[in-house]
Amino acid sequence: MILRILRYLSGYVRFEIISRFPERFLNITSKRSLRVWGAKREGARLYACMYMKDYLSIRPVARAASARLKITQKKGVPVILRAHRGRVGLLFGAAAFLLVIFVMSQFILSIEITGADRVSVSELKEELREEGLYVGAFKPALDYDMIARNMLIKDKDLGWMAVNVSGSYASVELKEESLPPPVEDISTPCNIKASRDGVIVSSNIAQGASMIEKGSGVIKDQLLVSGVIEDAAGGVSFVHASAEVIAKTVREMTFSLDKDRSSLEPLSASVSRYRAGIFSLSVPLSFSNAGGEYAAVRSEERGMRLLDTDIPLSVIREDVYSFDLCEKRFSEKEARTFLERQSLLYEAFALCDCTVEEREYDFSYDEERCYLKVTYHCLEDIACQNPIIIQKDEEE
Amino acid sequence: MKKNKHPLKALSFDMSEPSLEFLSNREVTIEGSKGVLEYSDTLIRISLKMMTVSFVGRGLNLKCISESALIISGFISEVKFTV
Repeated sequence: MILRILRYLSGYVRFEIISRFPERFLNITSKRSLRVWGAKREGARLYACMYMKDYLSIRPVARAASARLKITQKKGVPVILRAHRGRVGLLFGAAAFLLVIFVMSQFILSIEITGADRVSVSELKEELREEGLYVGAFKPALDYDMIARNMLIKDKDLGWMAVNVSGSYASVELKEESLPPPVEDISTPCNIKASRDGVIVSSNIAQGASMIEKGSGVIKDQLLVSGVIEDAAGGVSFVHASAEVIAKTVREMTFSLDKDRSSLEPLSASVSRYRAGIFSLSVPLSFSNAGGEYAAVRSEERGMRLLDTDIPLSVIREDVYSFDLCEKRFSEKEARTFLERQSLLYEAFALCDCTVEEREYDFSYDEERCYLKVTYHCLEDIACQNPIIIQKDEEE
Repeated sequence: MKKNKHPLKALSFDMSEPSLEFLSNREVTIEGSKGVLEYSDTLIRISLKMMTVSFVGRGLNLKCISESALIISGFISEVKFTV
């Protein structure tokens, strides 16, 4: 097979030997170290193959053997090149293709990160970019061991990391640092105090002496569960009090709003435009604009994959929403709706640890502003640990 | 018992003598050839050092020819040495 490829690369001819004694021709060629192969007798004719450069020098041999030669076929790369010598563009195209393949193989075209569960992949990509590893990075300039080492020093969440590059594809494999579980302090003596005013609904005391009763009212910082326990003999011991004390509490919050307000109002339906992502470049494909003084853009990037491998080509779709700044005066009804929404947001974020049983709304307004006072009736755990400081007598 | 002085003597080849290597009856490689005396698709006669060897068969071809070696392929039915 290798011999066939070499013959094809060098170029050879198949020729016919017309002679009464073609054996003489074969003997003379072999004596002169001219390589002949594929000799085949077909009736009175003898066919054989020879390298093109050897064939050019066998005219004296043929004369000595009283043979006439006739080329029947030419094969090989030199024949193809000679046939296409007028087509310079083809040659340039082939050269450009090889050049592009060579140049592209010198760059990172795809990065895949495996093993990231807790750590954000986009943050990792950003950190890798700072270390020089990104789509489009010049491969010979990268030191993969150094990148992995620097990443481990920089990011404490990483326990192990390796960067493997196969062709233009970089595979980043990592193991996250396993963090020890938080250890709860159960040895320091402490009391349980009330974090808010309220009425006790229930209590679940794991350790400590209860100082409250169900239905009793408590005020902030009142002792609920004591960490000082006296035994029957009169001895005192200090424990780490632990309890869950559910109480009814009341919280008040006032929200206000200027009646005259400037707001961004959407103008019309959004306009879509597209961009082509090539490596780190982003080339606009269309230039549509929705108009308006202000605009918000929502972009969505769709990467391309070839044979299960990311390639550095993507299509980015951008939806442009345009807004105009409008001066607006709220009516009382609109203001109340707005403030109620604000109160619900406050409840969702600030009162997430409580169960809101009831809400009371008190809406009021004057010439300039509107007010919404909301009273929340909640059920919440008001137990708050307070450490006991023990001072030893110096004389003892 | 007479000992062989050279332990590899039995394995050594005498390169001055022609050698024939058969691959079944389909191909034969001949080294030490002095030239092709006759060539047709049923008979090929090769000159060796002290003899001629004839291959009779059908579809016989000279697959490759060099200065001192050649390969014959085809269906060989008879081999004859003439000393």
